[in-house]
Amino acid sequence: MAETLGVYLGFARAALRREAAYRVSILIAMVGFATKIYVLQFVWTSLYRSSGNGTPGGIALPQMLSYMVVGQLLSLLFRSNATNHIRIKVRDGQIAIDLMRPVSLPFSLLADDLGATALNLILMGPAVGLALMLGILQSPFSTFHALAFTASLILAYLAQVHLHLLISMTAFWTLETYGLNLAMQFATLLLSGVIVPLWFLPEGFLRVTQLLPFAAIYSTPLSIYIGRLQGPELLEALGLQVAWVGGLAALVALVWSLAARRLVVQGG
Amino acid sequence: MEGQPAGNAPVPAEPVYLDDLRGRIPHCWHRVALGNAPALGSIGGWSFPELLFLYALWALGHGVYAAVFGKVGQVTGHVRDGTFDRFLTRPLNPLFQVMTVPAGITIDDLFIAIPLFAVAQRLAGVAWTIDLGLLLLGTVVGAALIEGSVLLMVSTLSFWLIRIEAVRLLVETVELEFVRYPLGIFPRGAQLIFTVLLPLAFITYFPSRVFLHRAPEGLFLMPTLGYLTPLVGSVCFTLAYLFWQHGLNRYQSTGS
Repeated sequence: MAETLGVYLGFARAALRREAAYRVSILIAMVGFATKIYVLQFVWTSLYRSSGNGTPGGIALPQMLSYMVVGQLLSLLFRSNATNHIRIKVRDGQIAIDLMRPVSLPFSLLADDLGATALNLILMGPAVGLALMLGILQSPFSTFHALAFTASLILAYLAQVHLHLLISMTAFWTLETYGLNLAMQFATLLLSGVIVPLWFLPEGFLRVTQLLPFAAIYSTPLSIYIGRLQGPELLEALGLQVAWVGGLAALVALVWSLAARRLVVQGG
Repeated sequence: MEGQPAGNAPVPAEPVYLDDLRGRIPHCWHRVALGNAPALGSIGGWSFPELLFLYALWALGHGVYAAVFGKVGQVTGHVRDGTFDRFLTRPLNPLFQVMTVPAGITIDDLFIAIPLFAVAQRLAGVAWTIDLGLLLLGTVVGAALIEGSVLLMVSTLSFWLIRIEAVRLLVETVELEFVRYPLGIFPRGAQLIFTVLLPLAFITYFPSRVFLHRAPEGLFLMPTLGYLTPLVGSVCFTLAYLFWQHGLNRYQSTGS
């Protein structure tokens, strides 16, 4: 058991080293982050200043800016594309070799993603530093909320990595996942609350977002951070995240069992 | 994750226009959603149709830029791989050669930009006259020249520095974020930089104020600024071209 764990940790470490080598990509991600939070702070400030209301949606400007910043931090943290490697492996046939290995492919991909995300975690340091320098990041609403946010963040990560893995596994059937990836990115931008907080959305859209995992990945941890979710609502939101993680993990297991069988039947 | 292809490893070629679409729709959504939120004000006093027009005008200029100057970005790769010299051995302007490599034109951006602009100008209620039509033509050409000059300058740097991809992507990233919002919402320093140093403001902001009959705001109040885009574009491109010639001469004299 410990030995298998060691193997997967090895994958994670290798992934971390691999991602760290893509220096240009890291630079672009950081500059993109810095530019976005710089620009969006003025967009939101403008929206708030020209509003007749001091706290639209019940949120004051400093909180809204923190929401925006943490949202961009999450985008940076979750930018790993490691699980998409299935598509490439299926295309060039390497998948056959991967299936012959005594390690589970989904788990090795999850370990890979963990390593890649560990690098993104390191990037959080300078990113947070920059936001603090600009004066647009407040600390979490309370110590309790800080803890709840950490839990929510872990759940959000697990949910999104399983979602990505799920989409990636459709490559076993369709060979191309670009359309689905794009759809997912659109949905994330529109329905996760990362650009426009969900409490500003029209009623109909709000209901749609509750049926999809994207809100559980972004809106929930962000809302906890700024203290918009309290007490029972907060626990309910966390519970919903757990449900999503469980559901998505179960789906991944199901799809994998179908995929593995299909690949074996087709002779690798 | 937000609107950026997160892939670090090389991936098979994908349809460019879909990538571009991803940049467009969320932007519009941002406007639509916020337009539906009565509690929130506006961005710099600009309404949703006006913001859409601002963006669509940029998209038009960018589309022309991509179609005309798209290949210039390949200079970096050519210099790095050592395949640039073939442009120097032929008796035709090297830049012209690079731009006209017969490997397909990138009209994807333009393909999306034209209908987008058609919708945007309609929503914004632009009252077209001959003058405005000419202004549009001049602005689009000028905008393409401004963006082209930036690409040309960065590509020229590749004669000296190997790792210039990062600079190009950096400039593109920064430009994309700043150009889609009215300049007036930014602090004076930023407004100054994007008017004088990197003239993004001439690409869409100043001209849009003219098309939309908006009262001038921010640091730069002269209405004539909106008509200067073709001039600014020509000046920028001339400077960039001189720099390119200089780089070319250095490259040829030192022997690749």
